[in-house]
Amino acid sequence: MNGGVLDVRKLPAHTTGIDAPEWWGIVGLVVIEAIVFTGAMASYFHLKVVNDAWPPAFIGEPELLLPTANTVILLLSTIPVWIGVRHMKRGNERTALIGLPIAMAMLVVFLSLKVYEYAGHDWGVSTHAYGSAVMLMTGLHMAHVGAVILKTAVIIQYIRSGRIEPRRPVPLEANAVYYYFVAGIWVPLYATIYLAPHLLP
Amino acid sequence: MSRAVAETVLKGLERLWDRPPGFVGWLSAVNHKAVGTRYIVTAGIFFLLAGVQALVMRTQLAQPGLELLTPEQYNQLFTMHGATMMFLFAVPMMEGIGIYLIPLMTGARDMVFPRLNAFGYWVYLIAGTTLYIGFFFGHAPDAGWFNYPPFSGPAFSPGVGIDFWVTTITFIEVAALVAAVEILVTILKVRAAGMSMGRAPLFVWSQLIMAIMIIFAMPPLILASVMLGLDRMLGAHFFNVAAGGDPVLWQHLFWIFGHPEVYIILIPALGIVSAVITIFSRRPIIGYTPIVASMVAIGFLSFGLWVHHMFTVGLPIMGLNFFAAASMMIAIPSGVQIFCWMATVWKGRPIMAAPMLYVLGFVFIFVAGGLTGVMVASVPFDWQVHDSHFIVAHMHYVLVGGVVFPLLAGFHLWYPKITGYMLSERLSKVAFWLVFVGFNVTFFPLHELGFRGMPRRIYTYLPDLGWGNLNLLATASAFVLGIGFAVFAFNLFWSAARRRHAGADPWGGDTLEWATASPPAVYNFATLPVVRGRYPLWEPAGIGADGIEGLELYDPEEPHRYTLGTTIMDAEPQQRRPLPGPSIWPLALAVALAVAVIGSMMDLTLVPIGAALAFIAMVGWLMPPKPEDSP
Repeated sequence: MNGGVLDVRKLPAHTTGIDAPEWWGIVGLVVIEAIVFTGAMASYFHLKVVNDAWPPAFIGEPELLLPTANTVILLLSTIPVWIGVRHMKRGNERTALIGLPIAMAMLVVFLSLKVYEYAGHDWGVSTHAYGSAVMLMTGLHMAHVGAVILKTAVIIQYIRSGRIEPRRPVPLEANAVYYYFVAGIWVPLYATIYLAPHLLP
Repeated sequence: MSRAVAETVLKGLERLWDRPPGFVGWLSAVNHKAVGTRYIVTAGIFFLLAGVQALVMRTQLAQPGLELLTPEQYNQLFTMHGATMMFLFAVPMMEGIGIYLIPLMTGARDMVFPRLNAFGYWVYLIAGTTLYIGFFFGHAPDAGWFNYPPFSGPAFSPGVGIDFWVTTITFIEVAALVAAVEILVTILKVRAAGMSMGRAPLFVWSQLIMAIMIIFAMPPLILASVMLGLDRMLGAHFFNVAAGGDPVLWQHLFWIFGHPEVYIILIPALGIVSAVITIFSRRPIIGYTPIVASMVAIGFLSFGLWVHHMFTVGLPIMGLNFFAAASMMIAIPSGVQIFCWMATVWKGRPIMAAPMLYVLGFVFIFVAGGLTGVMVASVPFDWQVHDSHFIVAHMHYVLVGGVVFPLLAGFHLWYPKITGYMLSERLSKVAFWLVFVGFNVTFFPLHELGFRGMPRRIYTYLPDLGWGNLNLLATASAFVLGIGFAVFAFNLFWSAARRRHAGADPWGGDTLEWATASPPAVYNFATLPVVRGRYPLWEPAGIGADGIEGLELYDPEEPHRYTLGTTIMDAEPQQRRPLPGPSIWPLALAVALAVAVIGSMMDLTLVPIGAALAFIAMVGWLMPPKPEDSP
């Protein structure tokens, strides 16, 4: 607005990144869900404090090898997403069409290993407050991973039909922000469920 | 707006922004004025229902030993009264007023996500209606609006009443959160060019702070109600002591939501007070920056008070002291605002019309409530009065004084803008005095009844306790209060029938909504305003489009709905933002989610079915247009 006349009819119709209201909308959603997960973690520790044995003796401490490897898979899956977004904004949508299916496949592996891990337990949400607390966190997170798998499939289809294109990358960016959240929030969840029993008295 | 806009452009904008006729058009409406009006009307109806519930309870308590209600019915009534007022009236009303007014005050054509707006309303309507269907069939929740386990758990409340609470409250949280994100992003990203945050009206600031608070406060309640739902439906043990659970966990999660909740409804009310005081003192507000800072401080501090609802639970004294101190401290920013407003009225030329009367009523009643608030913030004092009628008195003084009175002031201020007609000033004043006197004579005696030992949430009491006279006085006065509201409601309809045209700016207002027609055109502004100061309608160069053109944002060759996207802090034009038109997807998604959330009460297989329907609705809604259809 300094010098010369600005014709707002010539402003771009589409913005990207933090200039886009959609970005702020997804961040709002992420903050809301992050607080839900934080509350679930805080509740786990509250229940731990009011219980003498946590985990209770008949459940025992969680294994570490499989969940940790699984966590690495989840976090690595964000890389093809990130690369795909960068290339899309530079005008190349083909990279996303390779990267997103790879990310999806890694999420399916993550989910399958989680199901395998919990199928091997003889306790669940109704076993003890410990079971309730752990299954709430895990179950909520697994539901989010499932939703992201479905979302990513839809996004891939939108890119293939030209509905997401380098000129209008916001839906891809918003999807990526949510993807990073679902992957990232697993780190404190993992620390709460798997590391805390081994590290805390 | 001195530049005349061509008739063809006005007609074109009207056609472009209007919605299809008929019932499907009504169901598909996304315009913020339609959505806002629906929120306001629906919240008003719930206020009426909750008020009638209160009158029935007060009748039962008028004398000792009355048997108008059974204990179970009384429990359902106080639960429904609290849940209705807090969840179905106060927050939706404040959000609805924001949804109606914010684009008008910030010079926009609509909010950032019009379909999300409509979706929030449908979820609210479905949630509230479902709760009341349960109530009318005798299955209302009966464990208080705060629903403490273990009483609300599977062991002690096996029936379906509490399931109604768990599902509808969780569902309505979604509506409140959706509206909060909508309000937040709209205020940040689509203001008039030149409306930096330092030039934004105080009402807009109050809505921004409210929205941020909702985003932080409501998720703990969603978590708690999901946990209770798991306890009740899947045998979880979050709150079951026998299996390692803890009922106090519920109390923490609930009040981490519940305390900020009351400030969530107070802060937009404070925004209304600032708006009224500015206009009716006929001068700029004194202390704009301290008022903004105070609202931010209240918003922030309110998250550190929640344990003052739990002083009698048996928590460590050291912890209680922290919350007691914080609870007293929050009076300071409230006081700062009161002094700023008093200074503005003192140095202004006040007009004692109805909006100002309600604001003065707010000052009197809210300050009184704040004083008893500082009293109950003291732990030993609270140990004496907790769960007594003293708390009922305190709570209604701050809620009615702090929320209802400013709302009534706002109704009298903005009714002409929304309907195009003036309210009857005489009826307004009659209603005000009935409400003000009725309120005080109803609730002041409850302080004394609390001191005499009368507990809360009891359906009757013994004759020899000496509580009968004050209860009778409170009940009689409650009916005066009710008559006051009836006169107010009558005024709304009578004035619409009488049709005294208000014109665009009957009060000499300072903010942009007074520069639109009454009611505003469907597209709000023919030429989007450019703002040069904090009081655009009062300053000589307050609105000026020098240096910017094309502000009709309308091209007859390729008509498309646009508003102006701007940068966050300084509101520099950034985007010619396309907006979607009417759509049925918001309703479709709301119904699909209802199948999952509310269906869970009936049969858990409805949850994945509803989720699948929701997925379909989301794909349909979010599908971006093809390249050739996109501006």
